[in-house]
Amino acid sequence: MRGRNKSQRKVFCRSQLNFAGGIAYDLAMPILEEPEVTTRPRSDTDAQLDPGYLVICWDDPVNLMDYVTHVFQKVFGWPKPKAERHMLEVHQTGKSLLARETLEKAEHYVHQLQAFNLQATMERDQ
Amino acid sequence: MRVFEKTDSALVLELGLAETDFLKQILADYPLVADESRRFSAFADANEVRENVQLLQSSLHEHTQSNRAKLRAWLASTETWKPFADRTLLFLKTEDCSWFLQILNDLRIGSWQKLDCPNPEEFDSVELNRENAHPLLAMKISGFLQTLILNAL
Repeated sequence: MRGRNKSQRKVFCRSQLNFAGGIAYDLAMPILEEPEVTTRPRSDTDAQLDPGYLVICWDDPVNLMDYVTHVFQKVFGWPKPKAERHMLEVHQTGKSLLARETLEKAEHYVHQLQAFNLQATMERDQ
Repeated sequence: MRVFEKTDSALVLELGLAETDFLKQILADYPLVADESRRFSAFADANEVRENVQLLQSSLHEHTQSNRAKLRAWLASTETWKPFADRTLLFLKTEDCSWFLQILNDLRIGSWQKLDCPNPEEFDSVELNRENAHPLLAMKISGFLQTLILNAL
């Protein structure tokens, strides 16, 4: 588990609890754990776990607009209006952010989009 | 070239004999787009993403090879082309439409690259000559067929 040390110690204290009958018991019980929190530098593995990769589609002068819409529907399973909205964004502004995903999923989408010959890239989310 | 019939399971296109011959010729050229032309990231340093680019290229290469094998089998199948009077009927299963659009798009983009990537405004004013006739017509035919299929879906 992250941030937990094996030398972690349990802290015991003696406490007196008064019950309804007025009898007082001395109990030795663990009441809390005092964690020793350590920090470690971010590793490559951490970076791979981050859901922070953007899938972007860029405009090009050759792909047909209806084709781009069709590909978005196919790859992302979007309804036509949503796919058309992103297609128009690509066409009018030069690019569209299609998804923000984990490294693995973003790679998958980029591979799929490029298999259809769309200009798709993935960028680390800043 | 026109849509002859559309059912739930298939799309049937009707082509003239010259259109059929030319379509078979351009389909035989697949793939045209080079795997090396792919980019993985627009901003990342090239060295940082070299492995990713190689992975992408190799994955797309495999995909293209698989598409090519399927295309060859499809072209050779007697179920694909059927004579219809002095014309030809082209049978495309509904589940193969996206795959076929992908093939046509590769041919269209590859032909455009062969023409030195002209701007859209220049497409219609490109003068035909011996060198550009094939890619120009391939681009027109594959684009027309793409539109026909997309409108029919």
